[in-house]
Amino acid sequence: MRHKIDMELIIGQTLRFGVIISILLIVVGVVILFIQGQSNGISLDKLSMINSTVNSSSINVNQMLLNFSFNGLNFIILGLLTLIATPIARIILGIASFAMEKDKLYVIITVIVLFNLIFSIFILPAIIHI
Amino acid sequence: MDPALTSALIELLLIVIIGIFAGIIGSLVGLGGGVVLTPLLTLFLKVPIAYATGASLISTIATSSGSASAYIKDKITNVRIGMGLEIATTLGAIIGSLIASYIYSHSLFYIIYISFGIILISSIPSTLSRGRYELPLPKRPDKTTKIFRLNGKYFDPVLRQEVQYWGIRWWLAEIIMFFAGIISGLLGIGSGALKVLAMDWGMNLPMRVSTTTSNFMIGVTAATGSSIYWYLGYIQPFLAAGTAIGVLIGAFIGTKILIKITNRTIRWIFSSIIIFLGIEMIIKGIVAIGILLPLFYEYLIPSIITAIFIIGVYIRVRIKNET
Repeated sequence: MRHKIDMELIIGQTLRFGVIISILLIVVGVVILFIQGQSNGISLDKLSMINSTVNSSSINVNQMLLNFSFNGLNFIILGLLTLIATPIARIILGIASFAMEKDKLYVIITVIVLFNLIFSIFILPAIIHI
Repeated sequence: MDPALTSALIELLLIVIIGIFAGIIGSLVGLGGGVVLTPLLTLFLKVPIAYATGASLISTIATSSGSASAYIKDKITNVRIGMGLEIATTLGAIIGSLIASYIYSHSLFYIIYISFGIILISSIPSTLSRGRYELPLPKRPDKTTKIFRLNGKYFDPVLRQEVQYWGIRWWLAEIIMFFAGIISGLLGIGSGALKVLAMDWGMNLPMRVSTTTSNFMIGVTAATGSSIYWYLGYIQPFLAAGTAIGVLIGAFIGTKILIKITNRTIRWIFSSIIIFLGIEMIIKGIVAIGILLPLFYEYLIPSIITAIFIIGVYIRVRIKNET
């Protein structure tokens, strides 16, 4: 039982800190963006336009993470990615928590949920691409 | 100040303020921020619907994860039931966001507007019945109760007692959750109302367990949809940044006010805002089909229907109070 209580606390804290970190990254990104007046060679008014063409499909995330530069947009993207990653971290911790309780059925169930998530993040884009 | 900088700053402020407003209403009526955010962004800031739904999904993750951490600590959330039902919601979210991608690539925007309007209006009954935290009449446990261990207990602060409960009809909840997932992926919302229905009506769980578990699940459903939205380019970083900040602030203010507000009439007022937005969205959908309405009617029709709703509710409340 002791394990279970610890895990619930860890899951709760992961969610909380995930949100705090991502919002901090986003705020820092917005501030840098306004100080520099542009980001990654794109002007601020082009970025901030309501029907801006700068969106998640025009940004190469891998490249951005590999050579991370001190740009507002990079911080915002990193913050948004952290936010999306938070629930995924929760699922992985959930699997660990059920495994500790030796609850086989729920380990399997949670692995299926994780698979659905991984499928939508990595496999599906590749399929749509073809 | 540089005029380009000023206009960008005003843009950002407008986005954040709309986010705060959506976050407050969302947490007061118990819907996620997204359901109110998308209509406000499309109707008042003229944001393209795909960008609005993308931003809404992102803020949905933020509010769900932010508040879930508090509920887990209270031990009301049933993590087992939540995880088990996420099989269906994630699957639904994948299918829903693929449908959305088909709709957007074929410019069938009216489908999104009209279904959004219908979802908004149909969420009214569950919004109004919220706050009733009576326990459901216990029903006989079935096979799924035992197999999936759907039982639990929590301490209810209002009833001041420990509540023992068990869920039934796991399969029924999975079916409803699948549709909740589709709606979530299609419209970029958490579809909390449907999730609560699946657990409250489908599984016969106490309302408190249903709402907190639904909130716990929304983050995972939204993350599934948003990764596909990300790939398709529906997430505009500037917009998503502003709304995420705004909705989180709004949800925080909302939960502070919520403790003070027990008055039902305030919930009616917010419900009428939702009705107004719902009808606006349907009208926007009709205009998107190509049926042109004079601009005058675009605001007149929703206003009239909302007024009828408010008067109707007012009369009903009066009659109830007198008898």
